[in-house]
Amino acid sequence: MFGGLVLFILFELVKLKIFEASKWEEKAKTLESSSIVIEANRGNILDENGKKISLSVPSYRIYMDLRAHGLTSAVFNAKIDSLAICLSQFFGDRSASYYRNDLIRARRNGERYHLVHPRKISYIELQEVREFPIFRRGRNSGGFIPQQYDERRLPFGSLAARTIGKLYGDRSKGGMVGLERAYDNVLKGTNGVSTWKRIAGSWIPEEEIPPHDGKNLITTLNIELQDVAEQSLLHQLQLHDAHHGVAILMEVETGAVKAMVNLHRSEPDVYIEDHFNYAVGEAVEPGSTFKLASIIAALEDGEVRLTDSIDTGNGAYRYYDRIMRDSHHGGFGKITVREAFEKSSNIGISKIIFENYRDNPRRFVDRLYSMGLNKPLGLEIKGEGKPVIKYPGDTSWSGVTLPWMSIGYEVKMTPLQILSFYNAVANNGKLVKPMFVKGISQHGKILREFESEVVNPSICSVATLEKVQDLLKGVVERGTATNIRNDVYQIAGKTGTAQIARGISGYQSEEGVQYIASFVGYFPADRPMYSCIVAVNSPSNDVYYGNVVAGSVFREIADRVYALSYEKLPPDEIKPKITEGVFPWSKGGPEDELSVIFDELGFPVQSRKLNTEWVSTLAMEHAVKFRPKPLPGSLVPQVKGMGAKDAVAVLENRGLKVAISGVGRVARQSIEPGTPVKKGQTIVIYLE
Amino acid sequence: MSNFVRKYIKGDQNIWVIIVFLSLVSLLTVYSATGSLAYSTQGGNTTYFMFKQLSFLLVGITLIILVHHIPYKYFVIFSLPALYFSILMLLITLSSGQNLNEASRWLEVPGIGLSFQPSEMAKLALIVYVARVLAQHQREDAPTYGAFWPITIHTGIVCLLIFPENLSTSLLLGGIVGLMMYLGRVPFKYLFFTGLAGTALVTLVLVLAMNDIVLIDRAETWATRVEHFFDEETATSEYGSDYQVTQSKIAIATGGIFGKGPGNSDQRNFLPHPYSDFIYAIIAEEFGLLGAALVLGAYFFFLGRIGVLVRRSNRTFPAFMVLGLGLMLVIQAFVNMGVAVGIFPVTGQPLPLVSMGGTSILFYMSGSRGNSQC
Repeated sequence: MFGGLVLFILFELVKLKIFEASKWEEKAKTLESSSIVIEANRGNILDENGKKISLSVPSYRIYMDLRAHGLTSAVFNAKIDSLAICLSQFFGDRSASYYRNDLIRARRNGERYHLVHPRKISYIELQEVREFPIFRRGRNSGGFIPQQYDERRLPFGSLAARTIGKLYGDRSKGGMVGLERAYDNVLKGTNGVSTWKRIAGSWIPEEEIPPHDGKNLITTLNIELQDVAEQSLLHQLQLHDAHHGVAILMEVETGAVKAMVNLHRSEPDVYIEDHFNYAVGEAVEPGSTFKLASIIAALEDGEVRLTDSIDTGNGAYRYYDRIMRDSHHGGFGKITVREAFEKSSNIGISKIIFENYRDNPRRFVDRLYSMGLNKPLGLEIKGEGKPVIKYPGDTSWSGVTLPWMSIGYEVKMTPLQILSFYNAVANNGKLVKPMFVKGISQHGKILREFESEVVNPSICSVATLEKVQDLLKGVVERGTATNIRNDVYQIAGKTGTAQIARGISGYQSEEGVQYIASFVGYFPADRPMYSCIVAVNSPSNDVYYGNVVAGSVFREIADRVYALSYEKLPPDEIKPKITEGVFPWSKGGPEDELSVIFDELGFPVQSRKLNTEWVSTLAMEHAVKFRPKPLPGSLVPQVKGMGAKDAVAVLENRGLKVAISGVGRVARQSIEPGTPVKKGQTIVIYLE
Repeated sequence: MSNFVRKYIKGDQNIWVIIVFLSLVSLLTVYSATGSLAYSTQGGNTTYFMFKQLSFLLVGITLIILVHHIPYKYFVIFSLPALYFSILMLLITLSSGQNLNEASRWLEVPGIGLSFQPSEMAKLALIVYVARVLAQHQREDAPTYGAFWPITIHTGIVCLLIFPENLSTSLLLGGIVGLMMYLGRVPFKYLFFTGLAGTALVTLVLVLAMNDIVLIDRAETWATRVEHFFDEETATSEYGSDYQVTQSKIAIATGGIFGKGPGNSDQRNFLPHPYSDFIYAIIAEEFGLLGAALVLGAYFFFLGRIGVLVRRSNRTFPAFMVLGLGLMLVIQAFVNMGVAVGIFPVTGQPLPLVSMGGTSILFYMSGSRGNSQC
């Protein structure tokens, strides 16, 4: 019997040492040193003014190691009741006896990582929980394990949420959409590792690679403007019960996106931002807003002049087997090219293109291509919709492609691509890539600044540009968008009311024809600061025209942006530059006398008609500036030349007693002007 | 010199060799395995426990020499009082003992500051007592009926007192007494039914514990240990109570055939009680398959020498005493080694003569008096 036992033990020894050695050695490796990943803090995303629009906030879940080394039965049994009461009061959802029984069961089962409560608590709350009975003994003798999670928060709620983006549920995968994904490498930082080796019964840190926190992303977004845009768009979407809507506001000169709204109807009357980035990702047939490209092509090729006339007939025109219609009932008749554009005549524009390019449609498409309309913008935000502009010879190219393409059908572009094109027109032909991020910073220091990227320095000639800029102004002044005209500043832009293609069923669907109402333009028309596009998808069928549905959003955004910008830049804020040394310093004095002196000395004097006698002087870069100086109340004024009545009034106002000698006007006064007044002193004025 | 040795150091020479061999192994391994303990309790004085162990070994060896000079009749006379004294000690321990691993197995001796395990003393006293009773009732012609009840009652009391705090020792003790009775020709059916009753009791307590009805605090631990022993799934989990077994197996496996060398154990940092319950794993790690086999062989050889001594003996009492104490020592050793290699559920049985610990060494050493001379 014992011999058998001995053999058995020997057999196990041999088995472990020889046959299973590698398996256990593997296991040993996982023990030898334990590496703990120290997570780097993810950088914040800031708006253009440095406001945090996405940041990481730590939160904690409480776990408990019920077999912690120092958590003896005595300790556990003595304190479990009070711990249960604390937990019950803290979380406020379950009775103390529930927590008590839960922990006792967990202890009996020997759980070493027992979730005390699923709720994540804040850092402040953690400080409180840390002081609970048992927990305050810490990890080794109290089994207290606070597990840290970094939560990504958007302090401004839905504002720009889709553009900012979000992270995967599994944090190690980083950003999922939006800027969080595009700049994941900048934001995430690098995790650190600390290696621990077990020596003499406790873990000793052996080597440590510190984590490098992620950097902050300074976006071009302006959270105030974003707010304006979202509110305006939301209002219209709700009003027209639209399916979804997009609004993008861009700085003309740099292409910096100041606001980008993507609202999606999740249930009636409720719109959410965090659904899909339509602005970037949804390429659709733009409709009339594309007519700008057509007219530029025709003007650039010298095919038409704005004053040429076109016969649009009675509002219906046949191209091969398809009939094109104008929305204006009964048609526009004979109109000029300018009118065709401003009134958005489908027949007018398509006839210009069809008649001039039908023999060589390549020329037209090549012109569009040369403006870069067929190329994606190459955004850092993933999922940019590809623009589609057919080329003659493509299998889908047919006879009607050319006329329909000219009015924005059979082509596809995203709202952001259309906006960039209009922005180029506003920017005197310079096509810039939309910019979302202007810099990277860390610890308050700017590490990197991004310049705007020019895609095409000139999409067309200046002559054409001036013409189309004028046309775009005309749309608002006299054309389809007169409803958004105002007297304070001028808007230039173009309306679009496009039917939505629905695959093989054409433009019809169960709910009838659906539209995209859009307006794209820029303002102020003569000195463009911002360009903006608003596209509302599937508004209710009662009102679907671009000028009404999208135009009003555009107007609302533009109004408030203009007001905000005006406030920020009051007209006379420019401060004079003061220079010392070049011009003499001079005491203040009567304007006429000082003028004589400075004239005599040959110094230029800068003064408006000040209508005051006394002035002070200020030496500036190029001139001496006179500024009005009110007569100080404590000095005796000059009354020479005044009538007796006026002189007495002026002098008595200063608290002087006046004695009059003679008749006529004041010739002399007994106390010299500029002398400090002594109350009750008598001054004699001599009249002649 | 050799005359002196012959005169004063009595006993079986082979057993002396084994004792000295195991003592050396003990010193080396305890020194290596107590690193953690030295850091946590002795401020890094790494040799503290080695010297403590050395002193225990020396005192133990002295004890053996001294005990050899005590005539047998005193063992016979003192066996019953010693047994009652240790029962009293067990009672005191149960109510107020020091708590180590949640098991109150220790009793502090007032004044000396030493804690010792009354169960070790009770084991020794009980076995001597059983040997006495068996010897008294031996007849040439008939089975020893008369010995059954006194032995069963006393063993029952001792086992029940040890049982709540130390299941394995209690089972071991009961088994050894049973074996002694069997060899002492107590009729088998008596033993069979007693064994059955004991098994039923233990099973009942364990089953209740597995179903969360806890009669005895420790029963929970036993239940999980037994569950884990039979349940492969939890056995592979990271935090199960089989943690110890996993660590032990890693220690044995990584030791290879020739070992990592004395003092080079890695697993001592992971194994709980590497100086007692899992000392065999450390031996296997540091001295390899060869060292482990040698230690195993030493105990087996020890068993063989006991057989020789028993057969050589012409008197019944010493024979039974040697048999009982020898079996106790060897079986405990096998259980300890079996736990380390994973063929038994985890118990807290130290490796006799090797594991660090004063009480068991002292009692084993004094107990080995019987082993060394008949």
